[in-house]
Amino acid sequence: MSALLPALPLLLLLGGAACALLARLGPQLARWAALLSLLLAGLLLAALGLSFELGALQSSAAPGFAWRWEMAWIPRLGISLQLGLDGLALLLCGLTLLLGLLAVLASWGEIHERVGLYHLCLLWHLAGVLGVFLALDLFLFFVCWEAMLVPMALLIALWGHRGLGGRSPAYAAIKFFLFTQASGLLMLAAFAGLAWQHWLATGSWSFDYFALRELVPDPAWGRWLMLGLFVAFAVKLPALGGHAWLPDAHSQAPTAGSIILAGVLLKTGAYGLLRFALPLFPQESAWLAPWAMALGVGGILYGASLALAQSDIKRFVAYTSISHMGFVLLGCYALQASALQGVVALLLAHGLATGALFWLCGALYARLHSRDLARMGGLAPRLPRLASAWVFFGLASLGLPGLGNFVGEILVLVGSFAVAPLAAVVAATGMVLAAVYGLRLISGVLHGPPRELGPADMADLRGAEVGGLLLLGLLLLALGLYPQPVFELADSAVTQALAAGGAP
Amino acid sequence: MTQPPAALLDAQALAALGPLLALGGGCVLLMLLIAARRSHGLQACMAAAVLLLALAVTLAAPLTPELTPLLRFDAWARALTLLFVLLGLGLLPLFRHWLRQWPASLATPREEAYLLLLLAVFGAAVLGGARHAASLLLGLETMTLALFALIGYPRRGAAALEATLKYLLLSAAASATLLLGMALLYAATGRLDFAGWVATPAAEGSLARAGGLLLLGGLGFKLSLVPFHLWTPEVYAGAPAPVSATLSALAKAAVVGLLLRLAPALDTSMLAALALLSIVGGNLLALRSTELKRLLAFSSIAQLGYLLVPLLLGGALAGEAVWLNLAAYGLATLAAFALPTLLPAPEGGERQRLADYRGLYAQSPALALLLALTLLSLAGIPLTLGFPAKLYVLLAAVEAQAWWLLGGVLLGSAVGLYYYLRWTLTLFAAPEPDEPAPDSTASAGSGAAPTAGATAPATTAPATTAPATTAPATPWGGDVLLLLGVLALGLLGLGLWPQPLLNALTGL
Repeated sequence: MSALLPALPLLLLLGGAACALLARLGPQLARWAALLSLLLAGLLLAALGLSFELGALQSSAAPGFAWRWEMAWIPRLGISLQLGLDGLALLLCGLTLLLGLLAVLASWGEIHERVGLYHLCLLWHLAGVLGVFLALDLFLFFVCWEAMLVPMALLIALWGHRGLGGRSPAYAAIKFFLFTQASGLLMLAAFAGLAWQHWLATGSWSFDYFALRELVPDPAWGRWLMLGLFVAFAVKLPALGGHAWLPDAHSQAPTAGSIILAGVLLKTGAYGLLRFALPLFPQESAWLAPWAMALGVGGILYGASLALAQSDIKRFVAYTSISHMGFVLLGCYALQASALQGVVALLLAHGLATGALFWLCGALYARLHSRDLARMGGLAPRLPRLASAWVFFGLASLGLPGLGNFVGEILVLVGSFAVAPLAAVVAATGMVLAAVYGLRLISGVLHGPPRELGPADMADLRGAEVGGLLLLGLLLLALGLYPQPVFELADSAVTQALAAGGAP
Repeated sequence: MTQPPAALLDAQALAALGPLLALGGGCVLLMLLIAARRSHGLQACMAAAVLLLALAVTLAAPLTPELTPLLRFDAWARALTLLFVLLGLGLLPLFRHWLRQWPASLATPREEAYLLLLLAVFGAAVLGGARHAASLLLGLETMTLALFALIGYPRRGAAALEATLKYLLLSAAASATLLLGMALLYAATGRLDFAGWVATPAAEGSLARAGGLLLLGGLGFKLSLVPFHLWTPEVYAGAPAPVSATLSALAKAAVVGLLLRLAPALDTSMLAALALLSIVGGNLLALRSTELKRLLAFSSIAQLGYLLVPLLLGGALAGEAVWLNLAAYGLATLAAFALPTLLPAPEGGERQRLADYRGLYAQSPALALLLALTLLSLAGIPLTLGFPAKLYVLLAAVEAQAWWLLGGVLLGSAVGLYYYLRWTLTLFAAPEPDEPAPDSTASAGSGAAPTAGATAPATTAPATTAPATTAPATPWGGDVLLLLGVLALGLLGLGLWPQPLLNALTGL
């Protein structure tokens, strides 16, 4: 079974190449090829997931990793192709493939130009994301981290929309690329520094995750190395201060790009914190924790208040993401098992809910040719199916009990209250703001006097769209009502993240 | 130093001199051939044969550290000679394609260009084996003189002549600086061989220090390090693209090889300052450039800056880092300059402006992908050869705890991302709707070979699926296709799997 791990990203890489070639015969073929390769990868992951044993190899060198696959790559520097699947990776890979499928469906009626290249970029980006979630070699992790950037930048630049003030999509693409790549360079320098510490300690270079986790870096350098990692992940998350790329990229990307950006890409930043920053630098993380939690609380309030001021619905949803990711940062640096479990639940719930919201934004734009909240209103009677979906996912996003987001947020708050009561209290006001922006989002689009926007005979959601959204909704509901399986799957990763340093 | 002349004659020394003999003999042969019979095809074939012979001889020649008082053939010299000969082989198809489009109206015959290219390779190889001031000067001037003639090869072109003049004047000044530096070093140490200079630390005595600084200035000019870079964009933009490639790849690699030998004799802190200035300056200047050759000129300044970092730091990984960067830089430079050479251009010129490359993917997917790969490699994005090269620079800087240089490399790379990505995105962008396709009218209007593209679909089919209006005026030969394949394979394949290259470099 372990040999199936590299097949996951490889399938998407090959599928992407097949899309580009098949598009010469007809755009429809490319779409089906993309769907098929994602389905195949999904089946593969399901096969791995069904035979997944919880608590596998608890005592081994790699606790929790039910499957590992390794192959020499650059032995000169102690670099290997090493992939591993534990519960956390399984959950996030599943989310990636699910949202990838929906992204292909969302592009079905939206993208008509250069369909082959489009699906190539989409699938290669997803392959990079899978690589990020699977990589257990720091060098390989960085390679995948970068490999997901260029295709996404192309997606935004070539198929994106004009943004505020008529800015070209290339502007948003380059901004997105520069922010993440420049911070990625800091991460690379930090990885190089870690490998150097390993070289000083043992006389050999190594980028192996488990070898470096055993290493205790020189305290003089540890903080700097940890900060390099933290900056990279905080920009990707994004935390307050590193968020400037997000509203532009989210609002100007094509629908599928927004779904993937919000649903999957932001999760890589949180994943990096959970998998790398916390376990590799336990002491340094404890030192940083108060600052990081403050940053998280700031992000919650900032994102929520700026969301209220937006008139573009995609920018609106983008700012709510900043707010939700503030909860993630707060939870990560509470350094409590319950908070980290909440972070994992929140990641999944945010991916599902925000992915669905961006899909609905795309559906609205396709019908109204506008994303301006001020010109919408009164759509509920005209588009009943879309309206009910919009209400459902809007409520999920504001953290309605019974849905996944609530579970995540409440656990984060409970976990952080134990160590930083003030931060938790302030963050809780963010949930109030969330109720305000959530209701504004719902009523602004659906209620009020009907406007003359869009043709009179607008079609409601199609069958495939309803099916996809129903699936997302059911998953959110399941996560909200019975989150236990998720907690069990994430348990080993959460334990590992806290094992070395322990809670302060 | 006082080796008896009889040692020159033994068989091993003769074999070790083989690469230089092959290249030098090849130059004479090409010259005689031109006198006997002018034929473009024959001349190109002979040049290729000479380079291939030199390649074989270089691989077979025994390592001889002290060949003559002037020359050596050690592992570095062999690696450098291999690099130069391979670069020469890579440049040949570009030269051939360029000269095949040579307008008959120009009075200059085209056969001499190959002779000049071979001379430049010969000069570089001498430089690679130099161990004495005399051989340094001989090699450097042989190479530079050949380059003067190549830059000005289109004698009627005002831009090319201007570029020649600039390069000539500034290069003469640099050579004079170099000579003065050598004279001062001679005055301080009483010796002209490198070993003598290295044995005397630069800090000892103001004469030696001044000599070292002047030497560094002269070499800095050849490498176009900031602040000696002013000639670079002008000359690159004015010279024909294959010649710019020669200047950028071959000439700079040769001087880097020299710097490797002389590094212990040079002032490290001054070298570090030059490297930092070049990284920051080159990247900042490249930000605003909207012409491909100027962009490559500035980017080469920055790339040389990165390369100098491990060179001046030393350490366990530094040697490999320098060689890996040289290889990545050489491959990327060849690939980048292949584009303006191979793309059909309006009005007989070259495609220069950013706008000329807009939507290239739609017209010529293979070339667009190659250029994208090259730009990403120069930017140091993973999965290309540029990434392991950049990683080695970072590792070398971390290992030596050179935080300032590390910061400079990171900052420069971050700035560089902007322009590399802007160019990459442009390649895939849709052509501006309000702007007429750049060459749809021009290639039909240029009277050189309006139907040649249509008559040769066989060779161009893999690369161009574009409408007939954008078909190249001159079809590519098999050599060009081979070169493009090797370049793409090198940049991507070695980027994915660098271990074989690292294995080869570890021994150096």
